[in-house]
Amino acid sequence: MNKTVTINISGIIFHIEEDAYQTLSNYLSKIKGYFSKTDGGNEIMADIESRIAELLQQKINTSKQVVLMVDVEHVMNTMGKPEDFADLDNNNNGLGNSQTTNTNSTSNGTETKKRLFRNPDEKAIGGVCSGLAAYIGVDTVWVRLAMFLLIFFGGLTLWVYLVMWIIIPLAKTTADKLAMRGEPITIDNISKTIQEEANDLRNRVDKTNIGKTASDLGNTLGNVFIRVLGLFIIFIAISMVIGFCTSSFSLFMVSSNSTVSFWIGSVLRSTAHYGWAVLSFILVFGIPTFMFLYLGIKLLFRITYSNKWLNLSLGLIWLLGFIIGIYVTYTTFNQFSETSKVKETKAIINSGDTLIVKATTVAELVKQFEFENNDDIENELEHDRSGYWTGEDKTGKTILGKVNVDVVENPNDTAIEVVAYYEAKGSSKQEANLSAKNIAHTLKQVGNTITIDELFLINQNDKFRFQEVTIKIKVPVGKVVYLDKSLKYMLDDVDNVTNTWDGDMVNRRWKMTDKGFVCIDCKGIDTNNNKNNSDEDEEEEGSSNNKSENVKIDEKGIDIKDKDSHIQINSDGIKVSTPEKDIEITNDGTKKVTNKK
Amino acid sequence: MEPINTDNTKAQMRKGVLELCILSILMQGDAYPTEIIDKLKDTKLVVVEGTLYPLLTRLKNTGLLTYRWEESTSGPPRKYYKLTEIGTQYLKELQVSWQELVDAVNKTIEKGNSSIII
Repeated sequence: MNKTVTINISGIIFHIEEDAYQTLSNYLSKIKGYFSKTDGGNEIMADIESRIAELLQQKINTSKQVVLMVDVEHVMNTMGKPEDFADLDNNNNGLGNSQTTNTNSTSNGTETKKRLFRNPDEKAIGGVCSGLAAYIGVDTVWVRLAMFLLIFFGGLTLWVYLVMWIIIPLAKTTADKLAMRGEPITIDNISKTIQEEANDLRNRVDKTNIGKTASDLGNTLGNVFIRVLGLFIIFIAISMVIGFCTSSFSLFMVSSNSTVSFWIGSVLRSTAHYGWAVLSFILVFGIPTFMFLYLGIKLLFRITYSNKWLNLSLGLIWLLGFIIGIYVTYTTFNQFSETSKVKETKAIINSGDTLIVKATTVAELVKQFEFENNDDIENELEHDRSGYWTGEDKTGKTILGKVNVDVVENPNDTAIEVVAYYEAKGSSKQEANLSAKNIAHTLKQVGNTITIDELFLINQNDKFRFQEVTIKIKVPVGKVVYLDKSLKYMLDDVDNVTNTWDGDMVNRRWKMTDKGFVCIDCKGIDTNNNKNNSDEDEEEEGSSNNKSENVKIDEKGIDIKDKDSHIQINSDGIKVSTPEKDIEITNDGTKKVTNKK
Repeated sequence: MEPINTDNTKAQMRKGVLELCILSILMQGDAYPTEIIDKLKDTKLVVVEGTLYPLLTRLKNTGLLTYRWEESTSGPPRKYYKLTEIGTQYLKELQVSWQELVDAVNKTIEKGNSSIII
């Protein structure tokens, strides 16, 4: 049993078997495709169909009512292949009207000019990109990618796309599609295209049969969602790429001569570690960035192609990068796991009651060092109790650190003891110890005066291992220490009875008592605990002066306040502040005028 | 260069004289395509019928032929072609030049043959 189709050729009805129908239909569309370009093509077509009808009619009778495959084959053999028609037409034109020969032969050459169409068969949105790709002869993916990337340059392509969508016609007919690809419109090409489309259609029909429940709307929404997701992911990926590029760039910059590079180099165990760290960074961040971009583009353009090996190998490489990263991190942390403290007694002072402690300040020190970046060091470290800086000279970079000074009670002895503690970290006690011992720091003792360098230097061959220097001045009960002004930023939480802040302790004499450290020339200092002081009447005198809020005369000096102006005279010098200008004369004789307006 | 194909050359020759033959057949009386084809088939000038239809249409369009419809008892209506006066004139010119061509070709071929024999 075979299914038949009813057809009408030249006004005559035939019952024809399905496969025979397919063949005949293909045959006719082939011929038609060819003659559509010829003058009087419809007429020729009608003639041919009429002849076919005649031929088929001869094949059927009352006992055989259906046209079979063999009949169609017979018709095709009788009529000939469409290619033969084409050949004939060329030559007959030559024989016939000589005037039309040239024009006809060129039109039969059918070297059709490419035309720009929107491609309906391969469209993501409007088919603009695939049409454009066909027109310029590249793969659609590249055009889409370019379009997409160009969106980020002012979004111009968005508008271009919309305009193109509107003005470029959709390739509706087979001839349009051929013209779009610039393929000559020949019967062969047309039949090929038609067959491709038929296959395509069949595939699509199959697909919809599989997913019957998924309605068209659902599909469209799903598609839109997937594309939006793709766009979003691409957006993230591009941000990542930008971030990645800038950080790679800065890493590159770092690897060239710079302070950051010096620090990283100084922290890491070796230059090899530096290389590993960079490699790990590139792998651990670069691969996900790449994969994100890849995924986004795949979603956006609905590319189902996936490369298992690519994914797998990238995953493995990422893992490798991660492991390297962990290794570098671990070894780096390990460099700081152990601490060593080296103690060195610098001076023992027995003679006299008062020890004068001074510092060689940063400003003075940098003059000795003659680094190329002296000013920077001075600015950075002068008023900072902690922190490190690098001094740069011809031999390279040297790490500088601030020295802390502490004053504590010396319970067991009657002499004042000055002890230096050098501290450093390392992967082992020995390493840490070595680093600590290599710290260069100067402390001078002349009679009852000790002078402490405010900065210490880390040996250029040594790594940075949180080196620290603390000078402890151990004072037995009854002895006095004068803390010079230059120690202002070096004192670190010195315990005292009055809880005076380190910065205020300088320029004073402090006596160690059995209760603790007591200031012996701090009268008038604005601290609550000052009442314990022996000089109580002076204290009262000072406070009586304090009754006048505008004029204050005390141990510190003279302080006169007006509505707008402020005059201070104390050990630091003279300071006058008016709405117009500030005038400052410091005790070393320098005068500074600042115009406010 | 395509390889030399004698089949192709023969087909070209047949097609070249097809126009002359069709006009000659119609000179003997009006005919519809099937009749023309039958006659041409007798002389083995036409192998496939499809070649005829574009040619007929073109001859008609250039004014050498006209046609009329006639009912058929056993199929679709038939197109009966008829030579016009221009067609008749054209045919005569063609016949003259054909004769000249045949003579010239014959002479050439005979010479060629004799030279081959020698």
